[in-house]
Amino acid sequence: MTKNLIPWAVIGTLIVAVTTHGADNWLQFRGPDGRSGSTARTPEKFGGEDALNIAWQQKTAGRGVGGPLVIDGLVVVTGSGGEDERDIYVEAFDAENGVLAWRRTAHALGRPFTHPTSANASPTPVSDGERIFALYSSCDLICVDVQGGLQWYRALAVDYPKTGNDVSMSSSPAVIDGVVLVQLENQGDSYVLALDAKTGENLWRKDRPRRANWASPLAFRLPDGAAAFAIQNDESLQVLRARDGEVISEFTVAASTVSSSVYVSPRLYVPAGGLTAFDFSSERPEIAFENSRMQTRNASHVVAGERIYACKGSVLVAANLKDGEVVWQQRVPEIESVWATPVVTATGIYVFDQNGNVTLVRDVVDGDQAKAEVIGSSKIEGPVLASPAVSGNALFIRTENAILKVASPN
Amino acid sequence: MLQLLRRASLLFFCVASASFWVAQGAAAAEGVDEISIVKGVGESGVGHRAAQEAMLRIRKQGPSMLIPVLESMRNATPISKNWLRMLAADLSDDAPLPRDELTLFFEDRQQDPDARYLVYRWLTDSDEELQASVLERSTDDPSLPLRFLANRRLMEQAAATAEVEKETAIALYQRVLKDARNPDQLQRTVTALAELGQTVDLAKELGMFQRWYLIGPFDSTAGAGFATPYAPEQALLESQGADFDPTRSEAGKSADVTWQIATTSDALGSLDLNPIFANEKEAVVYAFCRFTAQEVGELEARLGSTNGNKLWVNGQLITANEVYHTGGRVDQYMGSCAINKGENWVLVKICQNDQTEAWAQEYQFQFRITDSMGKPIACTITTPAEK
Repeated sequence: MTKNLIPWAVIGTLIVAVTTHGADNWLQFRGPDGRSGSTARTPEKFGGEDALNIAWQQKTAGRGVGGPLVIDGLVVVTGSGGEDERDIYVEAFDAENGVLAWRRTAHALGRPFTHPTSANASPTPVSDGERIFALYSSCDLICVDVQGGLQWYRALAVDYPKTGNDVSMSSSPAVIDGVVLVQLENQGDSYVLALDAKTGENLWRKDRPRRANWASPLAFRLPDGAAAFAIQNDESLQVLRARDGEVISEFTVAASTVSSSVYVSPRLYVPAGGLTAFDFSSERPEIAFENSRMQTRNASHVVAGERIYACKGSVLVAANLKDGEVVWQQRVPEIESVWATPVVTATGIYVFDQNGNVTLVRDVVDGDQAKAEVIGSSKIEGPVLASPAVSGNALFIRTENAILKVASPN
Repeated sequence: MLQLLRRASLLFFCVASASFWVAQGAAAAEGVDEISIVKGVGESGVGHRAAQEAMLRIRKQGPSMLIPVLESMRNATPISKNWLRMLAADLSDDAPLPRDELTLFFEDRQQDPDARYLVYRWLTDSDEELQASVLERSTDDPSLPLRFLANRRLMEQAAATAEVEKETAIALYQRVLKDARNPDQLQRTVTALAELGQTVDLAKELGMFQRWYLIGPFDSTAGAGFATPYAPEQALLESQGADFDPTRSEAGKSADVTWQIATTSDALGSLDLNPIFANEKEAVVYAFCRFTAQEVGELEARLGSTNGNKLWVNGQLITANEVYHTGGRVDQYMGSCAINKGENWVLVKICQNDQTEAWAQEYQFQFRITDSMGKPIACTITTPAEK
């Protein structure tokens, strides 16, 4: 007899994550705590010609590869379109029925050019529960409230004119304790910038190496409660105090410039040399373990319960969160090029590929042996490069031109 | 008594009406003041707090502020226009769209092109029939985003008819060629016309500069050349373009170098430096020419390059980009420039880095001058002279 390992473990570790905002909110890239996990029981199979379990689908105003947010019953997505994708959008749909609640449009003032598979709307927006901060590859940054009311707008490519990367500036913003952080690393004006969430004014700014970097900053709380941001590139990992940018810790490490880090107190799991775990339980953080087998390709690591998962394209690898020991490795059928970070629910691990193929894998225990069980595959009309959101018992999937809700009718 | 009451009622009505309109007028005037505060937002967060407070007061006045906000986009800065766009959207959410007023606003081509484009989106997003009829007559609209959509529609129509009605397709593509300002659209149109047997010199249509004096390579080891003003740069900038001697030798990266004439027949006017400079890496090359223009005044200099670059027009630095191999395209870097009657000059500095990847080998640039709407300005290259 096999037992699904995920639900109980996920429930155990996600309790903390839902204390700040409603359990149904998904406020940033990879969800409430950045682990891309949820306790929701989502459908095993969906899509296809008969649109199985597709509760609704809406065309978005523009293209987008950033993930959706779910805030107080609204699904929020960004998009870009028009000439050179200079029309940039933030729009909100009623999570229940998909009806458009509001749409805001601006004109990109930075370089909107990207690789054809990406879009100007490539970063996932972030929310503090009251406001939504939507960043674009063109370095335009829009802040609206949950009703769509403009709070402020910054044209960062006007303030720092050499910022840009025509592949795409895809690093997603992060927010904690009233501080919004954008990490805009490229060959021109390269920096991290902290802004006041209420006013959009600069709080602090640090120059960064002038090289392309797509990894996103991570907002988290250190064991002593201090709000911090982890930022990484191919030569270092830095932990910065949120309020003033002071460097709390720094490690010389070749971290990924695509995949981002994940934090499970007191450890920061960094995509470097495969996977490197840094333990922050003491004043002098140290490396807890390294495992080169946990290398990711484009997606970021995902944490659920006692497990951490790495997606290497069509191969999924599971390891123990505690010691990094690999417990299974599974080739994922139907899956080719993966950009979206997988999402884990009580149903299993959903792996999305660029073409809209989705394979559900379950982490099970068979006797004493942990193993992967491929549950089945689904197909939606892609492309899908954005990591999905989970709210209630639904998945919200941002395809290139649409947003759709996957939920069982019952 | 009755008459007295009537008079009193009339008096009351007049006073009330006057008060109402005075109040409305005062509110409108106050609203305009508040809008000007929003228009005052600047770079780097300047004016945010005042603008936030002003927006609160404008929202309190409700949907009546929608048209004034749209009208205020005229002469607004690009940054404040984005504030006004989103403020207008806030206001439009508070009541049914005043379609008649908005239609009048859209039809007035004297209104701000960006405000009109926003209104176009509101009016047509859920009305495909209206969208088609507006686009049909917008291929030369002052709003460039709208013009882009209108010409895209024409191109789709042309493509759909190309196989069965060739002459109709050609006529539609010719219309795009006349009205479109987007280089990608023009390029695709020329390709489509070629497939229909019509030859168009795209580089000429785009107004690309196709003849240059070049000198190089100069050393750019470790990228240092980008910030190093080599002799040609120094001489031309210090003399305001006067000190140009095509026979003069300068110390180059590994040998003395002299100016040479290069031309391009590339469809997009791109000048490929690799065959001229033997695929030199870590190098700087300068391109220079003098020209006369059919229009003068404040125009736009537009450079495309996948390499590090600096551009001067008549000695004024227009743009400087220490960016390598992240993509290159027509009009990648743009800036306003003053073009004079008579002769003008342009100096382009193009830097190659040390990247060895196959996708990082391009060494090229393209240049043109347009008006603010992207219309190419016909220029005649006087130096180097045409042989």
